[in-house]
Amino acid sequence: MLRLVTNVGEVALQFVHETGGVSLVLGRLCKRLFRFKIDGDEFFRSMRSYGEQSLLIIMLTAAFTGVIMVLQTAVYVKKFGVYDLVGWFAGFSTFREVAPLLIGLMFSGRVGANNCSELATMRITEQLDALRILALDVYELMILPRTLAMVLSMGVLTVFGNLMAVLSGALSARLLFDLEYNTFFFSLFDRLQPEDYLVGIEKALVYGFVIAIVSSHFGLNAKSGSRGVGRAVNAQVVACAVALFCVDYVMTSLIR
Amino acid sequence: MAADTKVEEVSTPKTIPIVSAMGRWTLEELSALRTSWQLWLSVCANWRKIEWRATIHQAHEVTNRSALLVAVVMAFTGAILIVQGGTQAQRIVGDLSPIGPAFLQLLIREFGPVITAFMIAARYGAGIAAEIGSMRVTEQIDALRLAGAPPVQYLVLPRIYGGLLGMLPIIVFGSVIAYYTGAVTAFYGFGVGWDTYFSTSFVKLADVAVGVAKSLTFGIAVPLMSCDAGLNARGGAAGVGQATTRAVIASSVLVLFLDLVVGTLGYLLLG
Repeated sequence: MLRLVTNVGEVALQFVHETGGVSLVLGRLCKRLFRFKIDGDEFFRSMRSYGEQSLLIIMLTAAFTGVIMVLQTAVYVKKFGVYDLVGWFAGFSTFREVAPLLIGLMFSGRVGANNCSELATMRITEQLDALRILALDVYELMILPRTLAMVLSMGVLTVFGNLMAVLSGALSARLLFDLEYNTFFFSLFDRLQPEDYLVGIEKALVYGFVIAIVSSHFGLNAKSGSRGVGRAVNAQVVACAVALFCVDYVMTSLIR
Repeated sequence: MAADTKVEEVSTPKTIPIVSAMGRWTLEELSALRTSWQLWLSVCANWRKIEWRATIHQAHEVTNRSALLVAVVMAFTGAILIVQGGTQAQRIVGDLSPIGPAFLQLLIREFGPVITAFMIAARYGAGIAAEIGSMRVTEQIDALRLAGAPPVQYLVLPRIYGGLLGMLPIIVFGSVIAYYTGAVTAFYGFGVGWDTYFSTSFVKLADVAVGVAKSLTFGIAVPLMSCDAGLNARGGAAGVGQATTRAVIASSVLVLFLDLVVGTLGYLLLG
């Protein structure tokens, strides 16, 4: 029983510690944002490497998501015979909720983890200290451009992902329920408002920002030693997942 | 004659960087898939050799170490899905009474298993990959092999059986939490009464069967991909780090893919 209390206390302390760390990174980032001196080369390099790292995996994820969402409508289709709602249901839940969230999780597992391990390696090999001695600001040089690149890439990747999900959804609806493509796309375009689409993109942009600051925090504060990098990356993946779900809840209840 | 012959210029074909990177990635992934498939085959060949103590220990790791993470994430999931579903229902049907049973059906069949498996991949899978990966780069795996202890039997099988045993309980646990936070959200957010919410009228036996089938498949898939990532780690501490991220991504993608496969089979066979 005492052990349980100790564990809960430890987890709570750790949670507070990490939240504080992330908000520190956020604060420092905001300070640089006002000066807005951004390293253009690093920005474009990151954009490209993020695209290369994650485009295929995200298209794959999104394609699976489309099919899964259509499968979920099967119950209602059978029960009420609402064939004209399939496209709408699949589109609504994919655009607003599932696609940004799953893409965010994949993005954090790949791009966030890479960013984190890179910063952590710099930290434990004392390259960050070297930068400070040279009077170079790591936030200006790396973190600000990368944050912007992650925000933008999440937006772009979600647009791609949504497209993929809709296409695979239409195809699977055709194969599973013999639903004409026309009916699927008509119910999608007719009932869905542009807001529904944009809410998802907004969410994706915010997720990109969250992943950037969380992964930067865990990278910058890695413990020394060879196991430090691995630990930091693991903790980053878990923390990103929790942060994404938390932010998702807040955004979902704010934007109805 | 000799003057005519030019040294033939070897022209490297111009490549679009992103396309070539994607192509390289595809090739790498395909060869990685082959190693996971081989691992799966050797697991199948040795499936009788259960180490009970290690298996129980791993099942404990799956459920206990990830319980808090799963609880937090599933609590949010329940609230999010109810808000989203409530908005959807208000706009189209105008009737919020089916929100509870519909959510329960969705949870059992789809989101409970998938989201929980994602979290298990992020925590347990990454842990396995780091553990086995560091054994691999410090040549402990080779030492095991030399000592006549095949790594598949001593390292991989207990984790797979552990996943198989542990996944269902943790998924049920996560789903129950999501169901109750959903009830609270529905009551305070949309004014849906407890009696209307706690109804199982939409859930059929087929949904439960599909949910259980998904849980068991994910219980095998996550440890399998993570062990594979760990066993193929290369080159020092950086290699171990790469193996961990690989494990998370590969397990998540496989979970989604199997979700699709089992879901389709369930729809076609059970309805």
